[in-house]
Amino acid sequence: MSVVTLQLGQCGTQIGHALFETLARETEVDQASGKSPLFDTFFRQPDEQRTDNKKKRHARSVLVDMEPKVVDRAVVSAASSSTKWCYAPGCCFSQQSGSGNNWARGYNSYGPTYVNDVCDLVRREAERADYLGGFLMLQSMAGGTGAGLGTYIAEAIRDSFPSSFLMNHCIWPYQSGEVIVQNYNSLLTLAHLAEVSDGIMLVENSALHSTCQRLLNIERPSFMDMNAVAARALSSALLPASYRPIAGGTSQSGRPVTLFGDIVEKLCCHPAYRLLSLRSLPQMPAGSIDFTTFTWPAILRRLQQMQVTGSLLEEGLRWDVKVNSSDNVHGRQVNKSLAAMLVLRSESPESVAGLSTPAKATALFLLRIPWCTQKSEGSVLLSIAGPSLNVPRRALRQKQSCEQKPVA
Amino acid sequence: MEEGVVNEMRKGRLGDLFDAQQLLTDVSGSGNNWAHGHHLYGPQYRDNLLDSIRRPVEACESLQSFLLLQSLGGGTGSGLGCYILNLLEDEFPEAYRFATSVFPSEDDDVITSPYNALLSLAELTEHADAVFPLENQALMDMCSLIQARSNPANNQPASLLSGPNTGKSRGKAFDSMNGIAANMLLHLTSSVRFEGPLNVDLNEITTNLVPFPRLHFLLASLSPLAAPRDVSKLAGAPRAVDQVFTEVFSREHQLMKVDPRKATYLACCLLMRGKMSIADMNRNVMRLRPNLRMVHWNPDGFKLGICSKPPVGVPFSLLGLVNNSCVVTSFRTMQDRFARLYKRKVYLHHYLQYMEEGAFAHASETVQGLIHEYTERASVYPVVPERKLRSVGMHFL
Repeated sequence: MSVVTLQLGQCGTQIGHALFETLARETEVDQASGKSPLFDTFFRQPDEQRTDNKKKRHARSVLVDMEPKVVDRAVVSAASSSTKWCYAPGCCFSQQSGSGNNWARGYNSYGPTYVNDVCDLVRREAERADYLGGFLMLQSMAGGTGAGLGTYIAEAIRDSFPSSFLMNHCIWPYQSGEVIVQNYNSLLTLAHLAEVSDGIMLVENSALHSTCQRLLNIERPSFMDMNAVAARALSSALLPASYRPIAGGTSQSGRPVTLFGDIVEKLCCHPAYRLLSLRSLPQMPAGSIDFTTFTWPAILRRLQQMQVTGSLLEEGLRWDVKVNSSDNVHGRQVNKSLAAMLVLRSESPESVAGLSTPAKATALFLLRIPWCTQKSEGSVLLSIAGPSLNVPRRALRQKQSCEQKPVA
Repeated sequence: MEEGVVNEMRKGRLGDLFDAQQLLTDVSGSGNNWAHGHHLYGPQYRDNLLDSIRRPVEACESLQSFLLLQSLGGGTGSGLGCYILNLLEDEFPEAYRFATSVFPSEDDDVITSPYNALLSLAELTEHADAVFPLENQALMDMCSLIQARSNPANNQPASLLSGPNTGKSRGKAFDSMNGIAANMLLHLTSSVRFEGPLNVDLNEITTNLVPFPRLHFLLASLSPLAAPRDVSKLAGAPRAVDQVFTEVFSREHQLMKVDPRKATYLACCLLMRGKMSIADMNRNVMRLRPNLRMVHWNPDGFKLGICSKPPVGVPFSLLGLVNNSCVVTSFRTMQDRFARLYKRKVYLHHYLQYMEEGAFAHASETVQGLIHEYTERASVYPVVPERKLRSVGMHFL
């Protein structure tokens, strides 16, 4: 089952590159044991079997940007990376002039002009797949290409492939501003994607930044560090896993997860509620792993408390907020979630067998592939929750209220 | 419209860079007369100009913008320059027009510069997409600051004074000043030419920094002005980075003689060159933001950009482009100097040979409108309309 990834704009290209790096590293170990399902999901064999790059797998990805620099850089660095993957030749689409952070330019001007070219590339990539699981779009919400053109492409894909799943991974910009018109761009993107997409994963730049600074002890995080954190969380949610039902019963136990189908079915149950958030544990610098012991109950407790308080960071959790306590009579402090999907991965899958799942998960998945780089236990929680999105919404409302007097 | 300067450039070190067909000269010059440049030479050379412009445009794959380099005090740069601005708007409407204009200083050597400057300013307000104003006085002060700071024994000119003749002690004064302006332009276009983690293109500058179409005067500031003696100390030291950010907002580093801290910021753009991370930029923006008066509808109005390649000789550098209402002081000075001359109608007959007097009043009105719009838009608190209270017992009035 295959997933076609679209990397839109500078942010999408850079995050996609980090994502494929992470996925490639994870599959290296599993390659030894024969053909792994992960191989088919995100990578494929090159079309022509040439002897020199027989070993290099091609990523199932289409890169789109309105300026050539970032896409070229990504292709070059993938080709020269130590892990055995690269971008397929002819999978990139770039122009010269750039979108200028202008959502309208990307959507209304470049969209209709270039949609046929981009959809051709996507269609070709989709036809190479035996079983198409869906499309994953990586974009930012603050820019012009990722936000504007990306939204138009999403709508075009929805028209061309009406029964495929379309998931968007969108980066929410810093509150303090990286682009001045980011509020316009973000609002317009969200409004259009809400109609078209099956699930929108929102990842905040400020959360990634704090994770790098406070948990990974990187004093001055660069975009590469933040992309690595986001890629790790996303890959944990997307790697192949087997399903384990919650309320007992062995009818479906052990079946492999259909990648986007299960996520959409279990999480995005209502068309109005499609905004997902990702929480991944544990986050720690590579050097501290050897000195830490991991136990499932501890990890799950922390994850549950993160979910309950709506915090995106493992640190500084407020443990006094409890779910069924009489203090929160109106439940204002507790972060309410509509649905949650828990993915556990470990080196020894048996250790997870006897676990009692936390109360808030509606679906539980077990990852079959252990961590190869970190050698630790870890879990990821994908959930839909309402109040945790309050902060960005308030900022948007403030921007909308500025009065515009007509220019004389 | 004079051959001297262009010929000198052709004979100089960079003579091979310029195609002889792209150089247009006349013999006598414009005589510091805006009308001579705009209304006489403009129509006369219109076809030649169009040809010269069309040739490089057709060689481009995708034309994005034009960059005009001019002064506003003279005749050709201001008069013919504004004519060319109009021409570009007619012929290539989709391309952006950026103008780097040298505003005349207080003690300018051209007597009719107030007329030329005001007429040009009116044209720039209506027809340019963004203007980067420069003032000679500010550039001169920055040069003396650099010379005071840099070590004379240090023969590596790792500073912004990297103009053509600055190595020699007998270099012309304008060379160093032009070097600063050139560095500003290089910095502005660095993201277009080199890659970086957060690219900022030229059209992003207009989208983010021009909130209303006529308020497009972007004040530039550069830091650091000169590399310190020990360049290796700079790399990685967070305090040095913070120092650079503080300097960009200070009065001495602005390329115009104005103080932005005293006025309101409509928008701000910070472009970094070098191996810096977004964390450094965010930290400094958080640190400096409370000291700045931002307009109420854009309190977080910062646009950030990072380009990986640093300029020659320094490990990193920062360009600040702000849309600030302090440019209004410069416009007001220009308006006053214009009014003083216009009241007595001195030197007017030279202009009236080629244009009508109504154009002067029109230009003055345009600039007045621009000043008014800046002051109105830049009010920090929203303007609440006063409600007339009806006094009790007075309703028979």
